[in-house]
Amino acid sequence: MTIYFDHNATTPLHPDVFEAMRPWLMSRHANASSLHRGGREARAAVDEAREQVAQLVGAHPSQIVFTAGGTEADNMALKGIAGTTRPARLLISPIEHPAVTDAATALAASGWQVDTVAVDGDGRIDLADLERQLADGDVALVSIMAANNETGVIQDMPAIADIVRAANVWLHTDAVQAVGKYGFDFARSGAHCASLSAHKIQGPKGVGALVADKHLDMAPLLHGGGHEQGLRSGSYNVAGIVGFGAAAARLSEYRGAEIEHMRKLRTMLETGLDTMPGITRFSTGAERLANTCQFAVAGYDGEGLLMLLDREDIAVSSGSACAAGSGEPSPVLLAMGVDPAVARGAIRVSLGPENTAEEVEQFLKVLGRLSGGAAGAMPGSISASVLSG
Amino acid sequence: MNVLDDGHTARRWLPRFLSPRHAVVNYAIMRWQGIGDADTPGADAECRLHIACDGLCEQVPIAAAAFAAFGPPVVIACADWACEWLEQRTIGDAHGLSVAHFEQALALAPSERYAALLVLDALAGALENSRLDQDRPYLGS
Amino acid sequence: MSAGADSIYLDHAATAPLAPGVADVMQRVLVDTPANPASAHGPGRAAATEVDTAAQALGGLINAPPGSLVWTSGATESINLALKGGAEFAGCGAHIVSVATEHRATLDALAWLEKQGACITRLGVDGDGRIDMDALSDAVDADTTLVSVMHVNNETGVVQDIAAIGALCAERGVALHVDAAQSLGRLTIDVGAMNIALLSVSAHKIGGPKGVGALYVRQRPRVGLAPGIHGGGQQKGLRSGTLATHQIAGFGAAARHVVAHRDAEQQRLAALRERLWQRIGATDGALRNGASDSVAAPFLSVSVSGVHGDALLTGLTEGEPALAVASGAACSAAKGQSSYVLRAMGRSPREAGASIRFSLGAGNDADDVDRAAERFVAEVARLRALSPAA
Repeated sequence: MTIYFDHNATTPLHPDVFEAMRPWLMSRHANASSLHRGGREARAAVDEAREQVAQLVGAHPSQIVFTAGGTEADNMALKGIAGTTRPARLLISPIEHPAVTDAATALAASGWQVDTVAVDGDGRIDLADLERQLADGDVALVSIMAANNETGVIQDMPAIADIVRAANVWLHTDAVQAVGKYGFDFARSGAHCASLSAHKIQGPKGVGALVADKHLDMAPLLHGGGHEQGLRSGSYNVAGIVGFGAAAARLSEYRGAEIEHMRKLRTMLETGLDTMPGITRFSTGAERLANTCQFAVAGYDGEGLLMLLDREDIAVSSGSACAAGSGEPSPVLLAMGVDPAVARGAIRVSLGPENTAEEVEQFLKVLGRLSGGAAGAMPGSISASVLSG
Repeated sequence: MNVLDDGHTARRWLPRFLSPRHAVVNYAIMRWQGIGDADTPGADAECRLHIACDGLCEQVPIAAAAFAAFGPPVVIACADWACEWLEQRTIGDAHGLSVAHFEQALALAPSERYAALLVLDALAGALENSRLDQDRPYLGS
Repeated sequence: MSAGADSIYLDHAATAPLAPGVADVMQRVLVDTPANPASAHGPGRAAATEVDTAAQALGGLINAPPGSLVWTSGATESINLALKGGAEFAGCGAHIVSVATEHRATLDALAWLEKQGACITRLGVDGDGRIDMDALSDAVDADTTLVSVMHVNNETGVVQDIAAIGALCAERGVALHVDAAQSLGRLTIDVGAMNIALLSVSAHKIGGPKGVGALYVRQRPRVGLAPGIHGGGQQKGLRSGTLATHQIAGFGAAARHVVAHRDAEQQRLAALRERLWQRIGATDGALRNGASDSVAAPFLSVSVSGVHGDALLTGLTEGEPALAVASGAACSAAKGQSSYVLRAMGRSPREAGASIRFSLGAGNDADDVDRAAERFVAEVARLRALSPAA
């Protein structure tokens, strides 16, 4: 039975969410844009989900634009806002998810200047640097994620928003990780738009949303039919959206208790890690998501350790799932000033509400055993230990 | 809040569209005193109202009212409702019928108001366009 | 599935119920294989295997190698990626040739590209909705980047001769993009034999789930595309974002089902469709849109004189029995404009507005067709009798 400690990559679908989706998969199949009864019922279900998602994140239903996921929402925000103005400057943090970083790189190819705001050793945005960079002028958009997927670091969004708004600039935040493991509230964050993803909160993959202030001017990414007030065309994934809504509704009720549970397990994990030699934990000085712990084991290659743990039926990740197998140290850790040799050894444990204390104990036991044989897990000797395992 | 802007959510008047009771084709009246036509080209809609009564003084009761209409469903519903309303009333009452009456009775959405205006135009024509011959009151059906 | 006591579903072109077996596959994957397919661990690899299996199935349906498929969130996204990605890759001076009757996804994307400086040629169609091969040949020149044609029109079911168009494009060295959202699972598609460079498809039109589609991107010779969604580099960087394993698995299951049943089913639907037309066509002033030998089997588009389109649609969809049909495409229904596709075929604005699309599917039988025809004829008569022209 696999111990699944990779909830920041994705979460298992909650049974209640599946039950909510079931009728829309099985029998209620109408296209939500159709004018007949079935179509109207489907549209009503989409609207209900819209309210549920809005409720969870502290937004108004009319601010929710459904997308096919968090990555699309990030692309919509960056390219959509950039698309309404001439190329200028774009400020992002150096610890963004590739969806933001790569979208920014694409914009750079069409004349945008992408600058990064400094972060401290724990991965928190340097507010003074943010002010300085804004003061240099010509910034059209700032994008800073509310919580980081690798380290779990939570940014002080209200403080960031104050600075960005004072400079009269739009602020986007990737809130994909923040929603379920922290009480992210769109209105309180001060951001003008925020990206969300259903499969990080025990909802289905393939659906997300961009929460957007009514005043925000955005060019759509997808054309064709004008759905979602012209912002995002394409037939509605009714079952997926209903699932998103159900996941949001469930989370609205249980988030507090689940966060507490994950925090307890994480404390147990970190207490255990702190007794082991050669373990470096990252971002210890910052407020972090209750479920996330990123650390490195001295003498180990992160990818290699991941594979060893996988053989013991424990699923974790090294850095973002998207970049798995690239062999490069995490840009997030490098931006925090972590030594590349140390960063290369990083793995990430991201807990979920269904994880147990026994699983944490088992993990610590296995890790202790593996790291006891530290000499056998240097890069280059990985294949040997895998073959002999 | 319905952000999908379909305008089809309310339509309390739908049964009237599906089963109107005052279509002129169902009336056996041979001579209508007043017949009025109006159209709303923008909606590709037309309405014709027929009134049967024994005179045009305020207190004269309306014996029958019927419609013929072409257009979106709300037009047919408004025309049918207007006829039902008229049949219990007098010529004087007819002059006082307004858009507000339609809006309230049929829960019209703002985008549907034009249908009420169309029917009222046809009614105004019918009230003016009297074929009443004072010496020969209408022969009841 | 389609005939309740008071409703008959005849709107399969808008969307269809999940094909048998698809829901079970999706449930199994949702419960047993929830991991991210890009993750390196065991659960991730299991998810990746499900994705590969689906690619095999869909690839088999269009005779394309599994590795040439890019999963998207639907045909709309696939079309946006093909057109915008192709234009961006070509750089300045992109010239795209398409047709006036394409889906809104194509037309709106092309309009946007035009605003960005691309040159767009939109061919007209004849009274049967077909393009003229000579006109196409004339429109394609040395600068043409891409030709984009819908295989089966979503409003009328009219079929374009993709094999001939593909041959012409191959001759001229121009890439052909085909919107196959309505033809997948209905007509034979062979991307190699038909010289198709890019093919957009949608799962929910063939009994798969909503919210997932694919774009076939030819590998040899390679077709250059700039990605539309960046970040994470999945799918060779062409379309980033976590793959929705259950959605893709559902698409694959639908593809497998279609392969087994397509030809027999299309024959059955063609017969039902003619039966429907026989009963409806007797009505005075009822016009069939598209010639029966060039309209895909499940489709019947009928224009009716002397009735208002909104009234006809409402009367049919709200009466007893309620017919789930469409007037114009589902996607652009809310706009209340009369169908640009039918106007392009020569119908007057009023006729184009007073048009109904029947699209038959699994679960429709002769009884459905007879009851639907009866309802249609009755409603047309009723509305005409209500009209001042009566």
